[in-house]
Amino acid sequence: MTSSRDDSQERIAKRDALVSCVKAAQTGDPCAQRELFDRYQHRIMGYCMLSANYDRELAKDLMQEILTRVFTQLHTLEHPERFEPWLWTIASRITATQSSKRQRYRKLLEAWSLEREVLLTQEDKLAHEQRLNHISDLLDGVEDETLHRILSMFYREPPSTTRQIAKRLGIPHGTVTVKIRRFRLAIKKQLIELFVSEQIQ
Amino acid sequence: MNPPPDDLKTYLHKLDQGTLSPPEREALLEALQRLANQPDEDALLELDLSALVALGNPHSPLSRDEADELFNRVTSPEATRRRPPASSWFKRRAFRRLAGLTTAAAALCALWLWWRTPAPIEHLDPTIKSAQAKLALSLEVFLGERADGQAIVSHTLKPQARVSKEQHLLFRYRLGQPAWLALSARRDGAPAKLLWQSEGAHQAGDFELSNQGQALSMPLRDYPPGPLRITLWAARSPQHWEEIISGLPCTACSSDQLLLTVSH
Repeated sequence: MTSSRDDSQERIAKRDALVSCVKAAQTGDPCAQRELFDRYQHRIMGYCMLSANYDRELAKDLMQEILTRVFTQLHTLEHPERFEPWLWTIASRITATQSSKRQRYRKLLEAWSLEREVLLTQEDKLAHEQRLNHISDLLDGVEDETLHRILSMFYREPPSTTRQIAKRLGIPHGTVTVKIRRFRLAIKKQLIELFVSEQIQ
Repeated sequence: MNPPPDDLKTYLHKLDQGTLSPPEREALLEALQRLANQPDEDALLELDLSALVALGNPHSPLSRDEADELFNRVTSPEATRRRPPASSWFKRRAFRRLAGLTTAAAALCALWLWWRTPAPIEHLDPTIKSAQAKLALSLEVFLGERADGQAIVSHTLKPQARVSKEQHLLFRYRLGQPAWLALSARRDGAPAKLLWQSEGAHQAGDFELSNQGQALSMPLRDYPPGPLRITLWAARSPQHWEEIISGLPCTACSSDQLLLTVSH
């Protein structure tokens, strides 16, 4: 119990620190910009390496493009607490043109990014739709029509709450939340398996 | 809710900081494998997968120099204007980009030259119709004869029809949308002659070409024997119409024409 509370406090402290850092970086503070850069450089490079099929030079180019976009548009970010989803939306948009040979990998990454993305433009909305289609692909082996309908309503614009979905489909609220939770778990599990198998190879 | 195991959190934190040693990396992969094989649902849900993408860069994290250089590039004022090419990027794409840029520059030059070069009407190819030139326009030319000072329609002329110098031409047109109009005639080796121009925009419909209510009649006596091209031009705007009148090319204009042969 204590550990859980500590975790929660730690997470809140981290989030507050990130928000302060983003706000400072928005004003052009070079130290804050560097802090943001250092905080995310490993993740972004990893993401770019995966998108570029481990072509390091191409990954560096992608990373430069992503970070240039991030720093030049940072002042337009209205909600600093949404920095990370915003960052991944940009990364996803820029790397989308890299046709990964590992389609399934790409689809899983996009399904994962659905959770965190921010819809910025019409272009992003199209990408969002594409990701939803990828989810459908991932679910193809799953014989659960209700799950398909729940996810479609949950992630589509305008998003519906789990209660609204339950009401519309005439099923218990608990069923909706459990199915969404299981779907997220399945995606995470598949991603972990892919990450691990990629690294072991 | 069960948090992810402490070792996993520690490893992920180190991974995120770029300080994960190779043995720790192995341990992280093992811990992840265990979690995937025997999923603790709560721990799995709590796990921040965002950090895991850093695993995608297993052997070659950015060196300090690379990171400094990249940071300077992406935060420099130039970054907002131009992306400095990395050498590898240049090697990989220079030729393709150069070819693209050269083509674009050539196209721009051609466009500029074409736009700037005044061409008399006789140089215009009336068949040129741009994508904008969607004005439905058709010209009908009639052979007219004079009777009691009046030009009377005799019959419709077909392309390549032979006409004699004693005869007159009369015109009708059909216009799909309101437009500014001009009629020109051109014989081989001579500049086009403007025969008629509309006073303001003409409404859509089927009309006879007229001047102040009187049918326009064009005598052929002034034209030497040989081919004669009659062209009716339609412009969407007075500006385009001015281009036609001034003898400038107007690709945004529509035209219809008829080629006749004047005989003795």
